[in-house]
This record gives sequence, structure tokens and C-alpha cells, in this order.
Amino acid sequence: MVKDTRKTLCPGAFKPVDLPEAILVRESKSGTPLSVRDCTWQTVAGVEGCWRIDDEWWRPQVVSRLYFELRLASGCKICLFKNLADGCWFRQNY
Amino acid sequence: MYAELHCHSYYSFLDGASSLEELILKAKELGYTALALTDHNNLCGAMSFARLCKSLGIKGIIGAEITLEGGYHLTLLVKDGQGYSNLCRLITEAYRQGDRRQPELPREYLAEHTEGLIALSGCTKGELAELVNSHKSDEAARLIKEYQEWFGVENYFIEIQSNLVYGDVGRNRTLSQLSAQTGAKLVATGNVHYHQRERHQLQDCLVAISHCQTLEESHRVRRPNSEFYLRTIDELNEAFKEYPQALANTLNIAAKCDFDLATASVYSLPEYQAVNSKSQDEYLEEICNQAALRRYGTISPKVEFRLREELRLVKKHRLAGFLLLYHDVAKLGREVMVDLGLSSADLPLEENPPGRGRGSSVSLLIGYLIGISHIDPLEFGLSLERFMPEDSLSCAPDIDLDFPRSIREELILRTHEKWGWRYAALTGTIGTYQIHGAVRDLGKVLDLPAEELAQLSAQLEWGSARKLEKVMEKLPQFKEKLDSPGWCDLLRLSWELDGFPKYLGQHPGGMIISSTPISDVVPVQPAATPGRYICQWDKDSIDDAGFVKIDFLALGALSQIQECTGLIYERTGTMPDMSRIDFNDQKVYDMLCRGDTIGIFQVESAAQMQTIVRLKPRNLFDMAHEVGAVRPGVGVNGGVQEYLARRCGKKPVVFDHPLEKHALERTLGIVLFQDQVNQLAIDVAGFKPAEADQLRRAFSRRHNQALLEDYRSRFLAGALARGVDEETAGVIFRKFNGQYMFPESHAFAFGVTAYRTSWLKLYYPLEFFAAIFNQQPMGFYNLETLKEDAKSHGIKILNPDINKSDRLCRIENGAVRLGLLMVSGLGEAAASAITETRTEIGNYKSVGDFLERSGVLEEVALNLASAGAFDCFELNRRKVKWEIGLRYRPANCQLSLPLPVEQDLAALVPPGNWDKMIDEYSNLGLYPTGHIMASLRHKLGKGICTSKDMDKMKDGDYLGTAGLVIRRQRPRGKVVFLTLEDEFGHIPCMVFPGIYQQSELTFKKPFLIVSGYLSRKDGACNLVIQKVKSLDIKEKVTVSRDWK
Repeated sequence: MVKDTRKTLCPGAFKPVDLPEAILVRESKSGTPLSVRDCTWQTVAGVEGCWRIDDEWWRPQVVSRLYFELRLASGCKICLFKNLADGCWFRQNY
Repeated sequence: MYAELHCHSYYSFLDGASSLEELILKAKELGYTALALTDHNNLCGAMSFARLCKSLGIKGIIGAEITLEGGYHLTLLVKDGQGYSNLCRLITEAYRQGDRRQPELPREYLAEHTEGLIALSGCTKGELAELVNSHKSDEAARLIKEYQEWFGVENYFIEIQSNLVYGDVGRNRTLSQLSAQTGAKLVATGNVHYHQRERHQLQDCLVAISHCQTLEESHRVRRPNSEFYLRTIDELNEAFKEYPQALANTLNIAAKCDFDLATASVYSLPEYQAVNSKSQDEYLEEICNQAALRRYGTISPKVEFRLREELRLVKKHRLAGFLLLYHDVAKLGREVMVDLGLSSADLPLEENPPGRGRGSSVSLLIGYLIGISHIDPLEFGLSLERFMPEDSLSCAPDIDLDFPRSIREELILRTHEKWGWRYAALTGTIGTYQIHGAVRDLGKVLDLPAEELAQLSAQLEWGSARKLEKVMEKLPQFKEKLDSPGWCDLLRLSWELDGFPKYLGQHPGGMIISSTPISDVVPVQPAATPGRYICQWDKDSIDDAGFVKIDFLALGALSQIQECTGLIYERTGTMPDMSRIDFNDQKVYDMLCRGDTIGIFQVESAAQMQTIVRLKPRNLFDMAHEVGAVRPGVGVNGGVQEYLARRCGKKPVVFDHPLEKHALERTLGIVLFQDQVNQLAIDVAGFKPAEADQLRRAFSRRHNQALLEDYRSRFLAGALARGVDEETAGVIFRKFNGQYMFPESHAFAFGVTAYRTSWLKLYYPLEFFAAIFNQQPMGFYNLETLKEDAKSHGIKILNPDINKSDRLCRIENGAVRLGLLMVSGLGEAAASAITETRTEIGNYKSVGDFLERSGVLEEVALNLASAGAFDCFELNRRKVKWEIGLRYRPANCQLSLPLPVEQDLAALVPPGNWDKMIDEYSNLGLYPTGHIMASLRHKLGKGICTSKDMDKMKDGDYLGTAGLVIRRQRPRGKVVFLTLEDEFGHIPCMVFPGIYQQSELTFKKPFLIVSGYLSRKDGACNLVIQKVKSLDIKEKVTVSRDWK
């Protein structure tokens, strides 16, 4: 049970989870990530999965992303996407 | 290279987002070896696809993605003719077993019909993919084994797709392991739904439309990305780089699929089981000889010669079975007539035939003798060439039969019953998106404001969705939205959606009859109307396949004539024999030449009225020319005006070359009929008859540029060989066009029906108008205009009366009493209840008595009051409505208390004439006792002439007038014809394009005040409008009938 603070809730009190975080990526000519900067630069050992999302094209902010699920040389897995509109990379769990 | 084996066109309704042409051209551009068409559970586009692939030079493979029990998808591809038949049967069975909207095929049926087919395991909705996604590998392996047993190891492939969808990589790896385990080979497919990436937006919209959701709401059912397009070879190599053999297998499969629907003889003409061990030809000849004796008395050399010639050609083209089938249909139609009390079983079939032939088939003497045509081709010199040429037929002949509505509906059901749905199926028709549907559906999915969409829709005229931008530019409240978010998407997507198929529906009357199962040649599925079945091809594909198609058309005019003669019989005891009236009665032609043609079949439109007063028909040949002349194909080259000018001697009759004379002499050198196009190709350029017919058909085909160029070259070469110089040949070729013209025999058939209708109007106007009221909707005019025309013929129209009206209009003491069904909101059940109760118990004595006995709803009772139905009890309609409000008790299980209401009846001021008039317009669609313009005249100001005043004015006079718009017509975007009506008559008007465009919105208002110059030319009179303003009346009166 969360203690009742007796304070009025306000919209600012709600924060979204799993927001994309900008991340630096070195990619190959075909656009596949070769290494990512997660504190330090880490080499990508393998691509576990790759998928694309195209949605909300009727809005000013179009969602067009290419996701990668990567296995790093360290053995960790990371999920990130490239925003196809501006080429920027973001980390986001899927 | 590559072959795409899983591809949806826009015939996967509300899912595929590209046309066949777009897909084929793109595949060709990308260097694909072959392209398969695999639409959802249908072969609607298969014939067009096969023909297009052939003409555009790429291998086309016929297939489908079918839905199995449980909703699983399976891709099937046709290898050979047997495989094609099996695919048709499988799709037919899926509809028979499943729901009309959600067909599902039982697995055991699939197992029995695999020969000639290759199966691919399907997309992510396939059973195999679903088992893999659920980690049920053992079951998946068993499933593969099962399919291998059914199809054979070499004809079953595991389909892998790589569209960058979450889970693709893992699933494909598992499928690859299953392939190694079971020996089933892998094949790569694109699951294509559009030809290029950008089209994914339209595809999203289509999916949202199909789920009746907005784009926002449909997030879960739409495809996740834009990767379902025809990809380049490099992109495919990258996508399937782990499975190169899967790509190679696409070519292996394509090589096995050799079935060419475009050239395969999938259909053969029906065979007929003749009687008394006679052959079909002998039996047909026997029937014709017997009928000829009855018709002519003795068989003259002329009849004999024509009959022998036709029978020879029938034998040559193996059409005897085909014609005997029609004879059977005509006999079935006669049975229906007898059952409906419209004919006698003793009457020979050719006397008073159940249907009326139309089209080029009317030129067939055999048709006249076996009861499928009412026109003697010998009497009118109709040539057989167009219908049945000497050389090989380019396609099966088309025989269309017009029936009165009452006969047609029953005949379709009996035809299904007699032959069975597998052997007699209705033709399909593909409903397509035009401007209204595009704005409505796309506007909804884009979540644009509903009220604004409704306002925009109200301003749209029928036509292409590509006109939307021009329309919005003209409307001030929408012009500013052209670049707004949402609206700019609407514009762009409407352009793309224009002409897209929306659904497969039932053709109004086309039916295929076959002696072998139709479902072996094209899938057959239940229609929306219970008890009916439709094939999945429209009339173009059916023509291409060489099917015999009968058109059972319901012609309102025939229903009108049938009812009219029935009413005459009721009143006089004699039914006129319409086949024996005097077709040279000049009084009838006098009426036609005056332009008194409202309500007369084929000659009542604005354009026909303008023409008939100048053409001045005096016999049936003239009537055929009148009917044929006012067609787009004649008007497009100014043919009508030129013909009229030559006819009245203002211009000479000239020919561009003497070789034209044979074809065009009888129409003064002008092409009026389709047949003349054929004849010119034969006479001027030496075409064979079948070739000439193909040339004529080529003009109306889509994507015909290359085809027409080819024909033009051949025409010019042929003409040159006959001594016609290139320039003249070019002039003659330019007379051909893709717009519609009647065949000559068709024009005769319609001309005869037009004459019969005219004869009835002249001699039996009472029955004529009663019948036309009862047969609504039909024709060009609304009820108000028909009422005014009846008045001008001395016929009074009486308001409905609760004790005197029947369901339908009837004759009463020399007037027409409007029927109860004409009252708004009063349907068949209520009308029958009112009349049956009245018959059983006696006339209604009061409003209360009526409410108690009839059980009608309050709203219906109020509408009856507004229509004047209770005037026999109380003239103050306001008082009657008050009483209804007091006395009405809804019919429910609780008995109402018989409480007195007299104390609550109020003395109300009666409604004025204006209020009564508006009420009658709203409830009946007409105002029997007057005209609204009489009530508005005081508002018009000085200087406004009536239609009566205009009769005295001269050519060139400038005048102002006003009226209710009853009709607008805008042929081919040229001059707009509109007709105003006032209390004295009609005011035909013309508006040139410049004036119309300046005031387009005003011209769409119901009441107009106009000014302009009077034009009197060769008997035709028009006001050429220069200025217009509207007279704003808040109340809704009648609606004009507007035509393209």
C-alpha cells in the first residue's frame, strides 16, 4: 500500500515510462549497427531481430522507425531504433 | 531474378492498394520473371490480370489466398487447367460452407481438390506460421506432412516472408529448421499489398475502412510498416540473404505454372437436349418454321431466304444450343406471365412475348420467331452482320431481354430453380469508389469533422474522386482547407482511391447459363439477396471468357405499359393489343413533334426534347434515328447537329469518300449507330467483320492507347489499299470513338417501345398517368412535374383519401386518385392493413375509427392528415392532427382505456394555403391542387415573365423569368441544360460553361430567377441564361432530377 500523502494529484505527477533515450551508433553502409555507445563503445556481436514501424503518418510527427535487437560483445542485449525521419538513434525497450 | 508468388491487388477488397496495371508494370520494371495474383478468396481480377500480363509482356500466374476453417490462410497457385478448375471449386465451396462475408473452406474438401495446384503455407495468418509462433513445432511438422500427402512433396512449399515485422527473423529460422526436418522446400514471398512503398498510407486507410474505424482506432489491425511493396532484386537479396534457395525456388515454382487464362478455352457453348432425337439445329429449324407460318401466314421467298441464311450461320457458329436455351428462358417467362394473369397459356410464344429484345440481337429473325424479340427485322431492313457475322465470332453473342419488373424478379428465381445455381448464376459487378464514397470513407478514417464532410458531400456531383480538388477550390469554406492537415491527405488519397473496387455485387440482370458447372470455370458465391448466386466475374471478364450471358433487365417503361393496358381493361373491358396498334398514326407523331414527351420512354430527356422538335419523326425509322441520335458517341463529334442540319436541308448530304455510302447513306452521312462503325471498317479499310467488331470494342477498353494506335495503322493501311488517301482515311477513323452508341436494331426496338408509350399517352392519358405514378421511381421527372403534365392533358390528380384510395393510384371518375403508398412513411404493410380492414368491415367513419381499426403509427397518421387523406371528415388539417395526438394509442400488450377526448378537441385556426402546400410537398412529393410558383409570384417583382408570356416572344428577345428547377443535365461537361417550371408550364434553359462556372453554386439552388436571350431555332426554344439569382425558400419542396 502506498501511503496517502493527502496531496492533490496533478498531471505533472505522472511521468511516462520507457521513453526513448538518444544513443550514439556507428552503422554499416546498409544501416546495420556495428557498435553502440552505452557508457563506452561496445561492438555488436549479432543482430537478433530487426523490424520496422511506420505509423501516424497523418500527424505532423510521423513515426517511422527501424528497430534492432542486438547482442553486444559483452553478452548483453540491447534494443534500439533509428528514427528514419532524421537518422537519429534511440535506445528503447520493446 | 525473382518471381513474386504472393501478391494482392485491389481485388482483395479493402486490403490491396494497387491496381493490376500498377502491379504488373512495376514487376516488369523491377525485372521480375513472373507475378502471381493471389487475392483473398476470389478470382475477380484473374481474367483481366491474365490479359494484361499478356499484353504487357510478363508471365502471369493465377492463384488465390484462401481461408480455411479456423480462419487460416493458404496460398494456392494454378499449374494447369485442372488446377484452375479445382481452385474455382475450392473458392466456391468456401463460400458455400462459410458465411457470405467470411468464407471458410473445410480441410477435407481441400484434400480432394489438389490436382494441378501448388500450395504455399501462407503468411503469418497461415496455420503453419501460427503453430510456429506458438512454439508447437511437432504439430507444425505433422501439418507439413499432411499437406505433402495432399499436394505431393514437389507441390507444397513453406512460405517465408521478411517484411521487417517483429518476429519475422525468429519465425523464419524455425521454418527453415522444419524445412530441413520434413524435406519441404522453402519459398520466399513478399506478401505484397501495393506496388510501391508510398501506397502503404492508402492501404492503412482501406484496412481502417474495412473495420469501420479511424486510423487511430485501427492501430492493432493495420500492418505495422510500409514494407509490403514490390521490392527491388537487391532488397530481396538482402531480406532473404540467409535463404538464397528460397529465392531460387520462386523461379522453380513459376516455371511449373503454365496455365494461361487469357487463351485457355475454359467455357464451351451450352449443349441442348433436343426432343424426338432431333439434333439441336433440326429442332431449332422446326420451331422457326412453325412460328413463321403462324406469323406470316405463308412463308414468302424473302422470309425463306433470311431464315435459311440465319440457320446456316447458326449451324456454322454452333449457336443452336445457345438460342434454344433462350427459347427455354422465354417459355419460362411466359409461365410467369400466365401465373400473374398477364397472358394465356394457349397463346403462341411469339405473340406478346414476355420480354422485349434489345441490342444487336433484335436483327435476328430467329429471335422474332422464338419469342425473344418483338421486332420483325425484315420489316425494318435490319442487317444481321453486327450480331452474327460470316467470319468467326470474336465473342459469344449477347442477347438482352427487357421485362416488366414484376416478371423479371420471378423469372430470375425460376431460372435459378430450373437449372440450379451451379448451372445458372448471376453476373457479378464490381462497385467502385467515386467521389462521394471516397470523401465519406476517407473522411471518416481521417477523423475529419462529420458536419464539414456532410457539407462538402452535399456540394459534390457524381463522378471521379479526382475532381475533389476542383470542387473544393470553388467552395469558399473549403478552399482554405486545401493545405490543412487531414484535408490535404483526403485530397491526395481520394485521387489514389478513385475507381478502386469496393465490393463484388450482383449485376442487375445478367445471368450465365451453362450445361457444365459454372463453378468449374469461375467461383460462384451467394449474393446478398437470399436464394441468388453470383459468379465472381463482371461482364467484361465474362465477355473475355466467351460466356453466354443473358441480361434480364427490368424496364420501367414495360412495367408502365403493362400496368396501363391493365387499367384500360379494368375501365373499358378491352385490353389493347400493343403489337397491333397503328404504327403510322400521324396524330401520335404530331404529339411527339410538339415535344410533348414527358413520361415517354427514351424521348423525354432535355436533349431528346430539343432534338425531337427539330427531327420531327413521322415513322418508326425516324423514331429509331431520334432514339439513336442522342447518345454520347454521336454527340461527341457534333454528329447530332450535323444530322439535323442535313435532315432539314440546311446542309448537303456529303460523304468523305464514296466507300462510306453503303454504311452511312441511310443516316445522311452521319454515324448514328455502332453497326455503322463496323461497316465503315469493312467497306473503307477491308476489315473482316469480326476484326471490325474488335476495333469498335477497343475504343471503350481501358488502357487502350497502344491498341488504338495499332488499329489506326491497320485502318490506314487497309484504306490505302482500297484507294483512300491517308488524310481522308484519318478523317474517317476520327469518327470512331469510345463513347456509347446504340446498335441500329436496339434503336429500332426502343423506338417501337417509345411509340407505344406515346400512343397510350395520346389515347389513354388517364391510365397513362396512373401507371406512371405507380411505377415510380422511373424516368426523368419527379411527381410534381408529372402532375403538371397530367393537368396539361386535362387529367386531374386527387389527394389520397382514407376511404377512396387503394394502395396504388387508381382511376376515379375521370381523375387519378393518389394511392396510400404515395404518403411518406406509409409502407406496404400499413397500406394493406388500411385497405383490407376497410374491405372487411366497411369505410372508416371518423379519425378515431380509423386509428382504432388500422393500427398505423402516429407518425403515419399525421402524414396522412398532411396529405389531406382525412379531408373527407374534417377540412381543418390542424384540428385533425390535434385529434390524432389525443386519440393515438401505440399498439402494445396493454389494452388502452376508451377515454373520451371530445372535451380536449381544440378550435384551431386552419392552416393557410402555403402551409397546406408545403405539407403536401413534404408528404406526397407533389401539390395536386396547384403549383408553388403561383404562391411565390408576388415575391418576384416586376418584369418577370411566365412560361405563357414567353410563347409570344420572338427569337432574340431579352427577358427575365423564374421557376422551380425540375431538371439539370450536363452532357460531357459542355452546355448545361436546365428546365424551370412555373404554374403555366416549362421554361427550357441553356447555360454556357463560362456563365455556369461563375455562378455554379447559385445554379444548384431549387428556385431561380434568370434573365437572358430567347433562342428559337428549328422549332426548339431555349432561354440562353446570362444572369441568375436564387429565390431563397426555407422549406424543402421537391427535388430536381439531375443527370450527368
